[in-house]
Amino acid sequence: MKKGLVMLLVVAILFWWWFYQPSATKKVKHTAPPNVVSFETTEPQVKKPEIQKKPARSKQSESSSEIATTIHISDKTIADSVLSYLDVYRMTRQFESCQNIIYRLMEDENFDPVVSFKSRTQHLQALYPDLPTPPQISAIKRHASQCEQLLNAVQLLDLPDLDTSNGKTYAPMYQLKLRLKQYLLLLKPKTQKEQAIEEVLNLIELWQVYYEQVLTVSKGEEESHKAEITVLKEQLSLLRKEQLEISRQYHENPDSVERDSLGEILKEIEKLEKQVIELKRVDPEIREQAIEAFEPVNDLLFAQLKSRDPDVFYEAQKTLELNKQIYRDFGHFPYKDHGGKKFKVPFVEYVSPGDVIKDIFGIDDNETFGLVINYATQLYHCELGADCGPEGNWTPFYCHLGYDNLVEAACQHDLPTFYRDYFLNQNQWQDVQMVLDIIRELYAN
Amino acid sequence: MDRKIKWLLVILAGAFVFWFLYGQDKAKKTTTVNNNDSLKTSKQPQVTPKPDTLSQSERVSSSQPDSEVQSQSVDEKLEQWLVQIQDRRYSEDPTVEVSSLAMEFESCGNNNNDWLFTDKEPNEKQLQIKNLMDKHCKQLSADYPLLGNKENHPGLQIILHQFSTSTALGDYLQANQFATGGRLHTLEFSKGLLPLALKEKNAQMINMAEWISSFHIKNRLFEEQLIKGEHYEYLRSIQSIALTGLSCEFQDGITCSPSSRFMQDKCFDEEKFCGLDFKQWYQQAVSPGMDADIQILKTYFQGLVQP
Repeated sequence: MKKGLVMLLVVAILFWWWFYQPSATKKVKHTAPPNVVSFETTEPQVKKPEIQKKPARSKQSESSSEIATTIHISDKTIADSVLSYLDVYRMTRQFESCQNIIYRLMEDENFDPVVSFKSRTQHLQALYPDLPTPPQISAIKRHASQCEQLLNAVQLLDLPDLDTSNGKTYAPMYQLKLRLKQYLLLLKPKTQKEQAIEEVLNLIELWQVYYEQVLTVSKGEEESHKAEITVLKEQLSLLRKEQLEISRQYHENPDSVERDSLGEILKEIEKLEKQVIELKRVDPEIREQAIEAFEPVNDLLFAQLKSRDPDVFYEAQKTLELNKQIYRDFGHFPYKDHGGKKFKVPFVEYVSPGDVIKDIFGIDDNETFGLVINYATQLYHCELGADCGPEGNWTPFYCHLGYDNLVEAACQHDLPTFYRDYFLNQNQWQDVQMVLDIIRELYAN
Repeated sequence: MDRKIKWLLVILAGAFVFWFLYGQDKAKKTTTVNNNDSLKTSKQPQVTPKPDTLSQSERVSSSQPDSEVQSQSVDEKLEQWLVQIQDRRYSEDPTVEVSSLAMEFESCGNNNNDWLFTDKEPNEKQLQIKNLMDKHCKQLSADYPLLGNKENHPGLQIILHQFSTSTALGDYLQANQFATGGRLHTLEFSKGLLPLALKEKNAQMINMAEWISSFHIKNRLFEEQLIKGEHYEYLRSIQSIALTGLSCEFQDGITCSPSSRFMQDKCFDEEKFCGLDFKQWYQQAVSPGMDADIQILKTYFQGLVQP
């Protein structure tokens, strides 16, 4: 009898352990926002986000024969047939800098990276008559080759299909990019670093949901004046068609269009858009609640800036700064779109990491601040251990990938050397060091 | 970014205006005030006429009726101009005076600054600055009716070369064609203009040297070894700020006022700078290292002035 009871107890414990053990990877505290309904409306309300991580696909090992056995990613040769979470993460990062090349490779059989570079940088010929120099040509070709290898590797992966239920269509390159990101979500991180990367990526996904909720509420609802807004929108639609037609005519024959006609239409459009916005309604209480729900998640992501991992820092910084052109505005993006004139109540309360540093540094002009902050932030990223060599995260943009400031020395030196000895002058370097000290004080202490 | 494209458009428009003023290599002509012609006032401009460098036969032939009419209207307009600029704001040199007024008129928008907001409405503070610019241009037009008179433009080019000079700056403006040919040309013109403008303590001409040199991002009015680096955006920025700062010292800081060209740009970029003058902006906007570079440049530029 006793033995039976013990056996039963053991089975019960095993049963409990199997069903009720906590998730090992979820460290993020999800705070659900209040589900508030203040009026009947079809406009989205503040709602609880639902983020579900799909279980890791066991099919991965089955598909190992389809994966190339040798893949060059950041100089690392993968001998194993199974890619790690970090390998695929690196592929997604590399995809960002290879995007344009991959697009061309997929569209043009005869793609020549050097010819493409020359075409893209025609406007710089007066500024840089020797462009591209031999070191730049070598770097361009090497980069294109790496991108081609990446494309081949990605195409060999068993990527999940894209969800097309939203009716959106994407260019083949962009489809591949999205599918690769989806693939990453299916992988299970194993090492501490991988788990840290997964954690920040999950947090970013959550942050974006809460951020979008604030924006949605800030735009304003249209139900209260639906009829009037509909009429205005119809007028806007006609004006926009007229605008497109004028632009088309101007493009074909500038003399056929009266000089001020486009400007007048644009002003008229803006006037009507203003009227639409005036008719919209924002419930300040709902907006406040959305912001209150956003703040804890925002704080969590800000806390990730203190990570000693360069990839975690990179992802958090990039997201929080809401920037599009990372190499130019990594540290501070002054043109953040909080709705501007399109929102009833733009989300101007939002403060980015760059805004915080700008306040501490005491420089109030976005243009002059931009001449130091981005270099300081990139250098901090290097200090965390990012790849800042000539083919690393940043220098290729100054060697050949960027759209201006293309300097041969960037092809041959690491980022700190390039900035200190070639690109920035002494006094500017001192300003950059001052800002770098502020960043270290904020994040590294 | 939109703001930069619009300034590029106005720079191109300004280039066209200046081509009109300086573009053709016409010989200097004397300013001869004909005492028999009726003048609006009895006050004569205090100028030292230069010798006529062209003989009478090299002037537009009177056998061509159109040119004769043109010649007569040029003389009339010249007289009107001389009457208008009797009370000098910038220089006793008529060429310098008229050029400075033209630059001042350009800076307030040439009576047509709606282009600044072709596709969006200015906010309240930006509108205040725009209105200040409008007011300034209207006042200039009232003080100098010929300045804003579009009908004068075809003749203004000929008229300008009629003005005499009494300074090296005036000689330079008359002698040099405005360069539309490329980066080096605009750079050379600005390099020659700047020390003369500084010597004459002329805010508008310093402003012109800065403006024209900014057409190309790589244009440096200083030695390469003075401030090293390849960050052209930074180098152009410190050059612009240094020159604007120098111009603040003259003509009561007209080129540094809240509605000046420099501060308009700042205001239309960031509302918080609307209403500030250049010095107030400088205190908020320039970092220590940048300030050090600007001081180096200011000292260098001042050193260019020949005694």
